[in-house]
Amino acid sequence: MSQNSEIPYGTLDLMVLKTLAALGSLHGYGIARRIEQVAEGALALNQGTIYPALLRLEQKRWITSEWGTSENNRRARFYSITASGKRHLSAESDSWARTVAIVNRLLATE
Amino acid sequence: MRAFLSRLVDVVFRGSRDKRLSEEVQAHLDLLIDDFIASGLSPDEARLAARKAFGGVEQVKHVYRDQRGFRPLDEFIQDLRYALRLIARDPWFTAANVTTLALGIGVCSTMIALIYSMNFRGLPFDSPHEIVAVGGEPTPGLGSQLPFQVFDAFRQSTGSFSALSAEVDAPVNLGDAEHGTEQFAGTFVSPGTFAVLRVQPTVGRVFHADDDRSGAPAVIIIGYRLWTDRYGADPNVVGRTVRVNSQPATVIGVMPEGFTYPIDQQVWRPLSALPGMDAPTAGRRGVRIIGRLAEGVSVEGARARLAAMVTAFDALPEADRKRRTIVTPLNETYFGKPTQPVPMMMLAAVLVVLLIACSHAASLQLARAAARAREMCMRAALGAGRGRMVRQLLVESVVTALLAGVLGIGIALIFVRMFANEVTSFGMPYWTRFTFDFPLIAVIVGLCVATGVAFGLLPALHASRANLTDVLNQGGRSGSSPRAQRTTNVLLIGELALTMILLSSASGFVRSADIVYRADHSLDLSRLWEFRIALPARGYASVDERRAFARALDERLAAAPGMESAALATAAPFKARDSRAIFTNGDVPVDRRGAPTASFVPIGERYFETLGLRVMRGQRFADLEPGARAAAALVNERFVERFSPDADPIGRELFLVNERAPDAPPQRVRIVGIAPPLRQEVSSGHTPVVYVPYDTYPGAIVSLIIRGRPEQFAEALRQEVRRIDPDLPLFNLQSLESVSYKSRWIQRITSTGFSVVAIISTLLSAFGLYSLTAYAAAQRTQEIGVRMALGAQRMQVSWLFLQRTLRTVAIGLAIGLGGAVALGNVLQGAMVDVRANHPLALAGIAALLAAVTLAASVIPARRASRLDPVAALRQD
Repeated sequence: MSQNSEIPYGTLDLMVLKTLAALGSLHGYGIARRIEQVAEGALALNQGTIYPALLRLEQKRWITSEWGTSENNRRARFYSITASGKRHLSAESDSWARTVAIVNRLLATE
Repeated sequence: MRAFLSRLVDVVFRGSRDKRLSEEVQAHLDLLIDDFIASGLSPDEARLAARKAFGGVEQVKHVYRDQRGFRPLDEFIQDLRYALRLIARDPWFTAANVTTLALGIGVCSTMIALIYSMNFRGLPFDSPHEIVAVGGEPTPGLGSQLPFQVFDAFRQSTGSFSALSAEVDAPVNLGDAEHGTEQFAGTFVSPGTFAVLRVQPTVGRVFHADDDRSGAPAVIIIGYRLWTDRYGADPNVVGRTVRVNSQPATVIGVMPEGFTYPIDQQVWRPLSALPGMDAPTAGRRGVRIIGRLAEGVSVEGARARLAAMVTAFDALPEADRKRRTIVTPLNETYFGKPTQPVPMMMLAAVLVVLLIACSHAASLQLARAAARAREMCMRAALGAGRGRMVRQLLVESVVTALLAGVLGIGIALIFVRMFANEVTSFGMPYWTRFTFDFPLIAVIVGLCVATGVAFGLLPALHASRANLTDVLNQGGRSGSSPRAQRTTNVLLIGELALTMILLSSASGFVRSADIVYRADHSLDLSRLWEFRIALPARGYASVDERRAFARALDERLAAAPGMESAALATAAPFKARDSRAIFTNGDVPVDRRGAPTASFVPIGERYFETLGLRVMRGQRFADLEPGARAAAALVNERFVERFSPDADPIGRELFLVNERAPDAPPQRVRIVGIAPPLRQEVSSGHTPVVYVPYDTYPGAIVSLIIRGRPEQFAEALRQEVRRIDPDLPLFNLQSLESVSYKSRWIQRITSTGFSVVAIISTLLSAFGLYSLTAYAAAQRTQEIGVRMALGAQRMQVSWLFLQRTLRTVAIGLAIGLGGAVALGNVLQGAMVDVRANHPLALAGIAALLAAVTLAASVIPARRASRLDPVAALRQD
């Protein structure tokens, strides 16, 4: 359990956006499962926490949602990324990459 | 911004959003469970694992909710709901609180509405702040008007003004071929008036400079009401010829609906048409001046320039050159500065009443805080922060105050309507409306919120400080600090003192109003009527012309059909405006300022007989030879007291000086008799009056005093007058009852106003003592229990509480008595034949107030003594 790191603040939004950009329309469970798969168990994700994140993104109009039916015939709400969400994602990815690079360089100068 | 809007929408649709989340979470859990079952778990295990993977459902919902709406707004709505629930749960408590506050807010709103309506509501003109009135330091001759020649000089150099105009008000007799002659309020204006006001006519045009030249064709502008009532709103009225004071004139325009500048005018004529304007002395005639300031010119700048011109004006007499020039915003010439001492004092007084109401509401709230201590602790224990608790309590008190505000505005509506009914006929500018508009309501709502915070903050802070462990451990003596109680006590003492002062003033005014009412009603008012005739300057300029008319009229009156008796006078009783400075010997000083004055009433034959009165002593005018009659005078008893207390006044000589014409020589008269008591002047009681024969002093306004029934005499009288002069309308037929009623308005306003505030204040005092005693009793329940368990009698327990009330009442009344006597001495002048500080009245009021307030505190004190000691000890 101790290897499972918490999600760094602010990165969940980015992960959700990236997931939606990569896979298209998904319901909340699908997004959570996808993030866990990619993290390969390295992330302690309370699946519930993605709902406030989804709401936040929707309020900013980066994603939209509508009711649909899941693969096993359950009613679920499907989210998809909007054009402005994509723009935001690419801007944020760049800035994230830069931040990581800087932090890495700092940590490397030992 | 988008997120903001979306959140705002969410606050409104919170219910549907909550539902959506629940469904989503459920769907998510179901999908998880499906997966876990597919991976081989039993349904129960799958459900458990799903929960674990999802995390805390409630936490998610909570975060989601915070994320969704605005937390402060959400909480506010929550507080509001809670407050409304509490307010509805305790209707008696709420009713007590709301009534108290509504009284305070009601009187405050009334005062605010009156001051706002008279002084602060904008004028209905374009850029009204540019419009000013120009006048001079008041003198007896001109009032605050300036001589026409000064206006003429101002007009030549109008650098400070974009428009300037002079006005003189005068009634106008308007007749034409189809309609009878009627009297209308009118104003002579120079052409600038409509440019100053920037008002356009509905039909036709306004005056040009050409209309104001001497010798120009006579023109008039008529008002909308006159246009619709008399000419059926016919647009062809423009160009029509009518008779104005017997002279033909052409109608050139109709002003828009509602425009009756300045007061209730329906006819406007060029200033040059004012009789006497072509005479050489026209320049000395006083005019009212208004102007529109040019752009960038300040009131003070304009005043300085005008003052400099006046000082350097050689053609003016020296006294006029020394007169101060005054420039004020237009509205202030009618109502004075917005911050005059009297309205401000009244505003302060009603704010004190509101403050008192607040302190009562606060002590009630404190009393209930004791009862709610447990609830507060429970909330604190469940994690409510102090700020949150204070906020919730404040929401509660503000909601209460707003409820009180609704009731208070209702009270204010009634009071303001009462006031407006009293004053509508008192020559207020036409734009003054006593109505409640949005800015006014906004101010009152602001006042309510401030009230709510004012009375709620202290109890809220107090309640939220409740010590958790103390109260929950059952031992806590919840209650307010001694300091808070002392504050309440001091407030109550102040309030009792104020109530005492208000009650004694009110009693003085009520007695005074009653005396005037009864004196007036000693006449048979309902059968007495007044009719008036205004003699225009053209044709009636000289005393001889007016005397001839008066004699002709008087002859016909003596023999007129349909009336029992009729007489001439310059004014009906109760509303004589004229007065004379009185000197009892021949050396009248040059400086007559400050000389004692008496009302001056010229009366015709049969005047007192018509009123049903008799000359008390000496001779009537009718008894005298015509030669002796011309210089005879009757005086009333008050006059005798004032000017001839020792010697018999009959046979004495008097010298009368007209203050409005200080240059005229004093008139010498001889007192021939003592007149019966009769109130002549408008607003006060019996002051000295000197009656002189109408034949010697025929005025331009003729007042006919008639005893009889108007349906029998009115038409006949009209015809009689028409036979003397077909262009003279009779107008303003009214019973002396209504003349008396109208003239007593100031007494009604002072007595009603003081009584209402005094009664409210009494109620608040009683209520305050009630709640203070009740609160003290509630606080000391356990102590009472102990005392009674140890054998204290009921009387002793009651006494415990009454003692303190007695002390408070005694101190309050003592201070109030002092204040009442001091104020009574100040107000004495405004009262008629009444001693403001009548000892019996003061003692009676003090006893009444003591009785009412003590009775109010006996109720809770007795209740305290009825406690069951066992229950009392267990309580809390």
